[in-house]
Amino acid sequence: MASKAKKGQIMAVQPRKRGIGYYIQKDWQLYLMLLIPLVVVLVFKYAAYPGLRMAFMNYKPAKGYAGSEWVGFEIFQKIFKDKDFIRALRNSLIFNFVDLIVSFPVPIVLAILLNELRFPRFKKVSQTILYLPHFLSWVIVANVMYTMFKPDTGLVNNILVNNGIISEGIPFLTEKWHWAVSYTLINVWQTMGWGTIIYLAAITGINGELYEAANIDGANRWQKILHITWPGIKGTTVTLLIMNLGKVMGSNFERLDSFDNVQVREFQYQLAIYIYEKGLAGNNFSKATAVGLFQSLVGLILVLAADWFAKRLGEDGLI
Amino acid sequence: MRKKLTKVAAMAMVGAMALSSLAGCGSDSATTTAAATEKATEAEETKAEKTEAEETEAEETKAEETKGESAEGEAVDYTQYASTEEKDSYGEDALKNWEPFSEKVTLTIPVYDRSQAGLPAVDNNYWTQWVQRHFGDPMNIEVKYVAIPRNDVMTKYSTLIASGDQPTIMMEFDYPKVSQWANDGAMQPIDLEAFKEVAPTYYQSMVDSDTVQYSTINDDTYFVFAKRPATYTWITVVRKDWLDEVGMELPESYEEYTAAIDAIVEAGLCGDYPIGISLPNAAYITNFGYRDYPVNEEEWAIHSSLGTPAFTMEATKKMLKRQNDEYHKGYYSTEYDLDADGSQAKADFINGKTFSYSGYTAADCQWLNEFYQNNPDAELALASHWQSVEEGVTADHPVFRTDNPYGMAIGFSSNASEDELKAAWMYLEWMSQPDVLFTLENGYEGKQFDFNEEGLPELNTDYEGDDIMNYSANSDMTTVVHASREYGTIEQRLELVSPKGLPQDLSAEIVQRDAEWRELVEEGYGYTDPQFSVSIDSEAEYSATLLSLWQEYSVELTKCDPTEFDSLYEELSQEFLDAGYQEILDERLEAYQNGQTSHLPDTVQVQ
Repeated sequence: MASKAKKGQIMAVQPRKRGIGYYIQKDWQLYLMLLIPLVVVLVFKYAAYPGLRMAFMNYKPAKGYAGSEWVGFEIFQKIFKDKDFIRALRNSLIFNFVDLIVSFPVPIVLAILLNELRFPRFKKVSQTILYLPHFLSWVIVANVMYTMFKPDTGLVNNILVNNGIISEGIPFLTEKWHWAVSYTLINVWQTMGWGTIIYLAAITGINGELYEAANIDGANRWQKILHITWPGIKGTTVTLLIMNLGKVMGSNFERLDSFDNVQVREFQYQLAIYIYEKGLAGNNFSKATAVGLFQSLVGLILVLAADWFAKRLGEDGLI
Repeated sequence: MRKKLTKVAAMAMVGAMALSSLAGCGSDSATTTAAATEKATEAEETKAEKTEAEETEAEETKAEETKGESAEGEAVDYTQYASTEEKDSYGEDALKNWEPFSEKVTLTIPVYDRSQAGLPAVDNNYWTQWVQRHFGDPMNIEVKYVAIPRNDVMTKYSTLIASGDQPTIMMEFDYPKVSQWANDGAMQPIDLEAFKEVAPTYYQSMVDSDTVQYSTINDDTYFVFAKRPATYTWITVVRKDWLDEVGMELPESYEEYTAAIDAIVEAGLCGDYPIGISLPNAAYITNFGYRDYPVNEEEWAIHSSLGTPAFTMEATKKMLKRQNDEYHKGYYSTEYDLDADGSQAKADFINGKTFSYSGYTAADCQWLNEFYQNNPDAELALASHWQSVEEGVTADHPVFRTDNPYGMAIGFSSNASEDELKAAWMYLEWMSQPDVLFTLENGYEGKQFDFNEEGLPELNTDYEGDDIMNYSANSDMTTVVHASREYGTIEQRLELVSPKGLPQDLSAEIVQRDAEWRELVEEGYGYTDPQFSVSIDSEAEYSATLLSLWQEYSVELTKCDPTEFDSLYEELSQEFLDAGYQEILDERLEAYQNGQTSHLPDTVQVQ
């Protein structure tokens, strides 16, 4: 990044001062296209901000903001006393950390492995197969998984039982501890292929001469990975890690709801479910907003802290 | 040239994208609550199946006979309302009392969308246009229908209310739901005297059914009520051929029932399990049979409800204990709790794997059609009402939940102007006119229906044309007037809705079971839930949580080790109370003690 900035300065050696109008006129099509994402961000991210006041009101949709009374931090106090909220928060944090620890390294390893493949067609086919699960929605993934992993009539258990490998079906998705493992591994399967893209792009950016030089020096594959490829993608990894830390407070309703069944609610009950159940099904928008706000604030703090930490370690960081 | 073309095309695409990304922001409130509504719609899609039948139980339980019984005893000549093609006008008697509005008034009316294949869109079809032609145009009203997904009514209304778009007429079968809307300020109080002026026929029907008393909540009048005629369309069938094979009679007690099931399992007639059950997805717990009889009114007032599961009631414990026992005898699938929408249980019966099934009957009854297609030689019988009666566990008679005395509870949007409110009342009155109602739920003679020899309209279920009627003979449109068709006597009505075209004629049995049920109810073995004239706020807040706990606990208690049942039930009951049920009970008790509830008939009560 630093080197890029320097290049920019060199380009501007002979500054013929031109107004902003000149650049807009010159590349107006590009600016017009930039407008679209800007509008989307403004409308869907910033225009919703005034709605946050709901968290401090006893908000009744039919009465509107004017007709609802202000209650200060009462909603927050209520939430933090709620046993269900504590359970949802605990589950969200634990599962998101586990997701991070298990799912985060897999695409890196996979990208390095894919990079080492030498037969181009095989590489392409493998990549396509790895990407595919990403395009399936959680609803579909969950339905397929339930059909395959039911304890008595599921395909996998049937095969295992019929071949005498086990005597009784394994409740992959219908017992909470089994569910926790399956739930995490299914996520790895679904996201790992897609996650490799950004690392493969980073690897492509590594100067080929470095590998040539290493070859001449007699480095083996392992050494090349360790001393060229890995340092080459380390910056990307740190950036992504920081961004993912922001998600630790998040909660994916679609994924959780698809994998819902009554015997695993002890673990499946996470913040998204809490918001849906208490806030929307219970018609309590104030609660939903308050929890959402809390999630975002903690997420923001985590990202800033991680960024600060990364900079201490000598990496680029985000901001 | 080519470059220019590409440029133009790119511009067009950019423009289209910009437009479509802006399309989301209709009104101000829509954007400010964007975060919330976004989640609501997402939830609506994925949760859809789960909340299914939350409302339907109101229909599933059998209807109580109301006083406003039309045509009972006296024969009505329906040919006066019939025509073979569209007439010039309908509902003249109502229309002549009103002046058209000087400025166009928009009236929005909810209509259930049941996603039925092969039927026209519910919010725009021949019959909605027919209403516009004969009611809207003459009165200068634009009648707009709003589709409400049947399996997710509450979320749809929530989003409409949140964006200030609630329809002029707001209605539901369950009182707690409409009272919640009223309490949240989404409905406006009305003046029943003024209503009576505009809609005398409709009001008279409320007087006849004795439902005016329920109009008021928290001292304000909000609701009017559609009629609920006596109907009996929910039936339970059993495999008569299996019983014959094992040499047994139709079970008349729980003892005989289990003996029959055991014999059937022994003979290897059923699939892996003899009974199909699925995850409970409604708050209503069918524990009426397990309650003490006569009934303690206070217990009834604080527990009995369609809106919140009465988990801590002793009757529920007995019911679950029996279920636990049956589960460990292998009566159910070990995976029944994964069947959240009942589709597996239905498929099992249709495929001839289970002993019994309950569902709606209709002249063109899909589940029975499919059943006989797969099992052409099977013979069915209607289950006895006594099948679950067991000394010491249930009451000594079968006891039923009878339905609300009304059909739809109808209120009016707080956003409706004076004219819109009047238009809504005019709509209700116009729909109540006999010729309007008759045409809307029968169509034209010789096309959608024909008169049978008794002079009653019999629907032609094969009819296909542009003017085909929507689900169940446009019942989702006529539901603002009455919950079901009412032609002829109860027996004649049942005759008309009995399944046709099957290898077996069940109509005689349906009529007989209905008569038995009616008799039991008259003897006092049927009663309904309490009605509150104040809103129970804690119920709105906790009912969703309690429903999900009920699902969890019922499965846990069904599958648990029988020796641990009692202690587990105690433990879960406490958790259930702590999760908000205690608050609801306290609030209800207070209302009961203040005389703000309806009462049980003396014959049913513990004296």
